[in-house]
Amino acid sequence: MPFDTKVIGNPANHDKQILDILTGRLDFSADILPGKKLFTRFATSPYAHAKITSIDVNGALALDGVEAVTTYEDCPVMSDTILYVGQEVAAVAAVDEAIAAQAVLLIDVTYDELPFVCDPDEAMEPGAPLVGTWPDSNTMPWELLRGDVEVGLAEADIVVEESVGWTSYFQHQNIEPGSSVCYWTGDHLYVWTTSQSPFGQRAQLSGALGIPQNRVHLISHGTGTGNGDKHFCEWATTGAVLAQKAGKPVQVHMSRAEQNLMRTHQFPQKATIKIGVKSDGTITAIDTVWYADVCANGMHMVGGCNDSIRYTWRCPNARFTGFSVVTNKPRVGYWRCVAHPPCNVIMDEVLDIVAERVGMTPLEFRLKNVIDPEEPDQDSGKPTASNGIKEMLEVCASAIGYAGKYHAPGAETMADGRKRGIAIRASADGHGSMSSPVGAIVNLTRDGKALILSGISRAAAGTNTAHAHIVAETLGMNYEDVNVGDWGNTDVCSDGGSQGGSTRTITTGAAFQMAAEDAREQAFTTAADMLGVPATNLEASEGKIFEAGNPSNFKTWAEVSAKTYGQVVGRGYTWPKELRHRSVAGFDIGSPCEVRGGGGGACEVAVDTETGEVEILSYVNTTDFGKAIFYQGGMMQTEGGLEMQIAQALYLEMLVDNSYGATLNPNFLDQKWPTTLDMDHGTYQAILVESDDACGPYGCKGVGEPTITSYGVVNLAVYNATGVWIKETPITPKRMLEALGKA
Amino acid sequence: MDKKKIPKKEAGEISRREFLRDAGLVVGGAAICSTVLLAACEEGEVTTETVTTTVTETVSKFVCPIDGMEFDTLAELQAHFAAAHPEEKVIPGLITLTVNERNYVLQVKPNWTLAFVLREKLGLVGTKIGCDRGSCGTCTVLVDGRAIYSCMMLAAEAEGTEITTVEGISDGITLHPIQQAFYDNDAIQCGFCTPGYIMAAKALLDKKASPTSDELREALSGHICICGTTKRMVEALL
Repeated sequence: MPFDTKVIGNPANHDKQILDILTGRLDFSADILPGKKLFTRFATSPYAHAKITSIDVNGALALDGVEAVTTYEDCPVMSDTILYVGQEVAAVAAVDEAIAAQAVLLIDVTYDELPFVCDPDEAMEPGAPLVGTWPDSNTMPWELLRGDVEVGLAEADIVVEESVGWTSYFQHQNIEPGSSVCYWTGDHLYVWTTSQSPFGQRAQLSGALGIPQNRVHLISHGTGTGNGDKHFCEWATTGAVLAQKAGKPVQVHMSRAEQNLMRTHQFPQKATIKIGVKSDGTITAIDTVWYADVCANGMHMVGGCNDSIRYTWRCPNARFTGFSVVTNKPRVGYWRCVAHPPCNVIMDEVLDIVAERVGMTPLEFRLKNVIDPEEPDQDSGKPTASNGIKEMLEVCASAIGYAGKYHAPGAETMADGRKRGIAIRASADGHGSMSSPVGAIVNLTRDGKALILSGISRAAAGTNTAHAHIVAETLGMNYEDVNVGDWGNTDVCSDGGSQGGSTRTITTGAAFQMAAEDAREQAFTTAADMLGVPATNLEASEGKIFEAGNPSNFKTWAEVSAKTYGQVVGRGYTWPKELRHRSVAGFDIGSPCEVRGGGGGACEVAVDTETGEVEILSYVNTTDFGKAIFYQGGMMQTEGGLEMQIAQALYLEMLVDNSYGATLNPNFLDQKWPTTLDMDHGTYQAILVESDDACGPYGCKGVGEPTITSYGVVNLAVYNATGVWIKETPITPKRMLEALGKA
Repeated sequence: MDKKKIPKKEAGEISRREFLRDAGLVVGGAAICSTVLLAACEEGEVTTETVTTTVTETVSKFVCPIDGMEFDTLAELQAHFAAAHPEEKVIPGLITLTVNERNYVLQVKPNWTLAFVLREKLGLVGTKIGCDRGSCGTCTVLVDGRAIYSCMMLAAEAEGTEITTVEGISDGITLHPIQQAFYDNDAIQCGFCTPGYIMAAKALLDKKASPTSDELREALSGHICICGTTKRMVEALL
């Protein structure tokens, strides 16, 4: 049953740091201005696969203004084994960036070139050059099996087999690139950094530099988006080494080219999927063979692609056979998930093909096979705490007017000659369900307010604002009486976890709920004496603590906090048993919970079959929030997710020349993001679906990653418009014309 | 749009960075004349008063570009220069920048960009650097009222112009109407691109108070917002 909330979900509440942002005062790491700050540029490899035989930095050191150089010989995050063009081999700290850039050119590196391969299909062929990431192979397998696929396929009336991919390879292009300022005082390291994981990064620095964590003082305040790229912050280690050598503060603020080459990327996927269905549309088996091009660093990402068979579609017999494939390209990482948005692009195309073969609309076929909220998880057997996927499909269909607009593929031509099409999709995922243990601190001030210390960074989501909502609601204080004291400060806050997996509102939020309950309990002890009733008989709401059932017997928070024995500090952590405060059908859902995040989308497109240009006519993006804690933050995530989906569907692609491994477009001009001229905001709708999660605090669940899930809906709509499948992303005019046989 | 007041308790907080900047910044020049906004507060009402005063800021050494000698004041350098290098007409690299109605005399290298000097020499770090190559718009400032990518203009080129940065459009207590509109519409996410969008919008709205949607989109099209807040920003300004 939904909670009756006073603070949570209120659209009038603003982000707690909005004024700092609007006035330009929020401190991003490069905004720290210690005297005599030095600036950094990186030397990078021009070869896709090589071993460095020698490096001479004397020319760089001799340049006036250069104060320190570090190379793979003394920087723990660099290596003499080169696996891609653009890998860092040295870095220079100088009095300004122009001198640092000039000095980079004076570093003399001798390479022993080795055979390389950049195309993932070639990398899997027998006799292909070894990429060098793994000792004796370019591939690594991953499997998941449920039921018996052969039996399921035998039961089917229709079996469809299709291949889709590769999906696109691109860089996160966070508007704030990798950025840190480091300096040393004795053997203490001070770091201001952009980060998604302040405590994780402290541990990385401590490990790399061999100093205890309590001598790494790390602050991450402003973070100019992370999107998965800022969990690992090797540049800060380089900055720390340079700062130690120079004996001065060093800033690393990556150039756009460095960001494109040295930071992580979304990895391409392709799959061959076999689906068996009964003539009534019931899926009997899904058999998938999946490939993930995990580039030079070889994170074993293909496992994440099994989302395709796990969370959304009811199917007793399913098999996922995955292979991660390494290639000599700039490394991969997380992009608002490990894998699920592009893996859904692939799955959705095959589902629509199956629907057409069965004679159902894509919406009918999905509604027939989607897992209902009350169904248990197919693999673990545990109940799910909520599942809004069916509701999202219905909301999207209604918002876009699906019933009146869906037509046979290629059947509608607009007055201007363009082809018009519509599509819908939705999926669930595992986001929000897992997190390493995290902590939270709530301080009560003696004038009856609260100050929270949130150990997470400030990525776009406004998550520490969500924590303030949870604390205000739990304490029974007004929203404006709870402030965010500090965040992302490893000296002051409790480890709030890494901003990944869409877990910070649900998991760290649960810790804040517990911390607020701890603080409330302490204050209630004082209030009980003041009000003459047992503490167990007290409630708090809207700034007052009062006797349950007798609200006229009350004290304000200010009156009580002034009388507490010392300042109250509330402490919380996740997951304590008592915070699993609701159960599903009497079943203890355990920890971590089976939480289903999810996103759904629908769009209409117009395709110019002469130019290959695809225009988005309207777009609906929904996210299953469970419950929106910070309402405006949630809406912005979903609106922003919509814009990012359009970027992924039509724009984002990093081009690598496979003949020598060089990235051709490491900048914003050639790797374009849509701007205000490319988007027709009036036709976009972002809609929150609240499925009231039984596990998360106040019913919330993870949302960051599900908001960008649905961009494959553009491929589906293009098929509905033209009757032609585009089996790659993004849909550029070139790909469109090729598919139409006109290129 | 009316210039609205915001609650003092929210606006009056001093950010950590501001504290650090005050504690550690060395400005590479002297502010020789300035207009300062003073805030006086009573009963939660915020009022502003404009006065003209002379401000002395922390000054780094002035270096003679010919012989490298260092001086504490500009006057000492000028005196030395006139005496020691009478053949030179002007002191190379010495420029005056007018930023947010203050004049700064400072020594710059010929290849220093305006963005670099604003941030690193004048401490005006509200102007962000996203690409340093004129393709993302985060470093946008106003130069004689026009929206300019400050990463694409050399500091020396900006001499003689009126420069306005995000720090110059409000005192942090009373928001500029554009900031207020963004506040009312919650048109921020990570906040890194925000000052650039605000300055581009100001360049347009100063010339045309009620632009069409197309004019506004055109004016903001040189910017990139990865978080995807452009819908809210456009709606806030229409």
